[in-house]
Amino acid sequence: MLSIGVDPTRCTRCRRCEAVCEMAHGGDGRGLQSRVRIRDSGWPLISICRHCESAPCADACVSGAIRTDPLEGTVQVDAARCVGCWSCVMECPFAAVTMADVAGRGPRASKCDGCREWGFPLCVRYCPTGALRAGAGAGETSGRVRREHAARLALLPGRGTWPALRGRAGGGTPA
Amino acid sequence: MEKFLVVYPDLCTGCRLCEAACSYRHEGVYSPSLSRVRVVKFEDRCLSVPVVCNYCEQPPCEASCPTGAMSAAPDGRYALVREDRCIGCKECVNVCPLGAVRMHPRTGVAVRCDLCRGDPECVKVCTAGALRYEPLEAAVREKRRARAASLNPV
Amino acid sequence: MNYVVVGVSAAGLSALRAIRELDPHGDVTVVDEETRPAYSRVLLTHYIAGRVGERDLFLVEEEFYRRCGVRALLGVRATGLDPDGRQVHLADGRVLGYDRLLVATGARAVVPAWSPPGGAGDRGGGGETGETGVTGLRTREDAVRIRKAALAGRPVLIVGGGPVGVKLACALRELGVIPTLLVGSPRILSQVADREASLILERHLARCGVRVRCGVEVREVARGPHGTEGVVLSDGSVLPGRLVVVCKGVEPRTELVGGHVAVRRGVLVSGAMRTSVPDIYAAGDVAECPDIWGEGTRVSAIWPHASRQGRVAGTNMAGGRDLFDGVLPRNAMDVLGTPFVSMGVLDAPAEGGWRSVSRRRGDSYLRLVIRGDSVVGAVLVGCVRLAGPIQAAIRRGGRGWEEVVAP
Repeated sequence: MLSIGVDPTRCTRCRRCEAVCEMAHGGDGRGLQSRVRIRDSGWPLISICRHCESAPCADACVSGAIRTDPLEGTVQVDAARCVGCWSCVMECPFAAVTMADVAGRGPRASKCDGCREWGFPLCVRYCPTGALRAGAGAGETSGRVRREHAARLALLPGRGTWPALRGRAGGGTPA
Repeated sequence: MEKFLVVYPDLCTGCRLCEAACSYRHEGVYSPSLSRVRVVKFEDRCLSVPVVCNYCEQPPCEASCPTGAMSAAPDGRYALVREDRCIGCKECVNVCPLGAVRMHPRTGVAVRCDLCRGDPECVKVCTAGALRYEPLEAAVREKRRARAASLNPV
Repeated sequence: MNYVVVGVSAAGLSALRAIRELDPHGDVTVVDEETRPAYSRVLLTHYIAGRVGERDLFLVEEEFYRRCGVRALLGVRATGLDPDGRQVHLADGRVLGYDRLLVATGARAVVPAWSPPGGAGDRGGGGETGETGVTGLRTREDAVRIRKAALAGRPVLIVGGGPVGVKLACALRELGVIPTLLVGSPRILSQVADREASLILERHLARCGVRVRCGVEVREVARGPHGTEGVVLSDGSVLPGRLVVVCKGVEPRTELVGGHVAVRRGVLVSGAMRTSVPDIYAAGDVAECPDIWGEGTRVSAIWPHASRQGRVAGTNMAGGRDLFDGVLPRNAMDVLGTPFVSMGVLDAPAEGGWRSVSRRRGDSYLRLVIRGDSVVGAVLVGCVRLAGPIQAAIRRGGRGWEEVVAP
């Protein structure tokens, strides 16, 4: 289960992710193939697919073109099945599904594929500030954060001031 | 007075009874992986710390939720996840600074502590007293006393 | 447990999947009038345009029901219901007992009075275009008929300027046919768009070669020695055409349960998709559901609602617990290269704290309907990128829309 997380407070709008995504998906540099978009203001600031567990875009897809990959847990578009009805665009709360021109067939849905071809989301790899993050799953993300938080609580320098430490060995000196 | 789930990490013995009670109350099974409260262990230092939702005044999980699934109960006394609205985008998991929001491994919706709707089960089973459901003022008073005692041992 | 599902399309199918997920061994019977497995009605206009093949219309393969361990009674109609005896009567005389019943009979095309019998909308009514030259667009047969006629170069008249009519006009135009769109209202898409959006799209259609006639009523079909020769309008003028497609909207098919459960326009259901009678559920185009504001009930004949409602109904039927969060009417379509999306409440009354915010740049148009300080509806033409975030804002209660549409 891939999960891509964003931290808008860290984003400096360098738009490196857009450029990298464009190149990774065979764009010509005009940004038409990029599946991640950064806005200057407003919400959502960073439009990228979160690979939702029950993806609204897949639910709304009338032709079965958008599906969740059962192995990777990512949400994928099969452009050959897409009929370009815009339903997915209407459903995605992150504005992460766009329409890109497929030669000779008109606009078809296009969204983050988790860089399947490359093995790891390149926008995340090249994000200089950590505004984009990816993990093997949300479970991993939350576990890591939880451990960091617990460490802060437990290994606090002022630990001795916590009520429980009274009379226990090692407790005592507040920092 | 408004009560909070207060964690006293130094009292935690790491028995994980809270996890068992929580998962049984919410999911009907004893499975720590389905529990809202998680005990993080630092084996090398013999430390265990229960981590649970802190009930932030301005919860980032609620602010970042695109569908309004993360919401407070109508009276504001506990938090809810409206499962019918959750699309599983994991924004809440990614923004929670405590790692207290997780994804349900089976249903794919976000789970977080709901204080058992005002009657937390984990507190009842915590014999060590590491998890307490008390007014914040009580916790602060204890802490103040401990600090004073440590300055001037009696 | 013995489940009976009447009607398998979007709602019936997702209910079936939900039931099987929770109850792998229960007896499930599906009843449907179509002889082939479920297909996607939304794709019919795309099929006419040639974007998908006839095979791609099907949602499941022939084997699907057998693979799921489901008894499928296809090509047979459910005609009666006995809620006390928990039985469904079929047209061929068979009687099915049930513990849980799902009514997913969908909707039928509205047939106007002037339409000759056996033409538009009668599912299974044998509307041969050779005989009447009039058809609806609701079933696969309808679509095949229209595509055949269009490919043969026969001029097509479309009656009705709703989403289906406009989509069909676009599909025919893509095929190279020049269709004529006859609209009763003063503008196209009058139910799903505001005036400005209608005008933009109307102009765009005209530029692309679709003939649009607004504010015209059809009086009758003009018949000649070679069948249909066009339609006669209420002012007496005759418009020539060999095939007349009636797209005057749909109405819920409630006749199976009518008289037994509460019905308004559709079958009234709660958020859990339960009807007023225990153990009878309804979902999809036939159901009338509370809206997301909890202010009223609505029938919404759109795909995402149908599949979501079906899943909720199936889960609850099989003993699980799920809730539908309410109807938010919405539409998205591609009007010959110009995308159009609308959702929620579209008209803002002059008083009562309503207002609307609009922005227009060329043919790109955005309008939000605001009640108090909450957004409750939106229309987007041209650039629809923000449709999703706006919909999310509406669902969250309407606050924070300023940030969504920030430049």
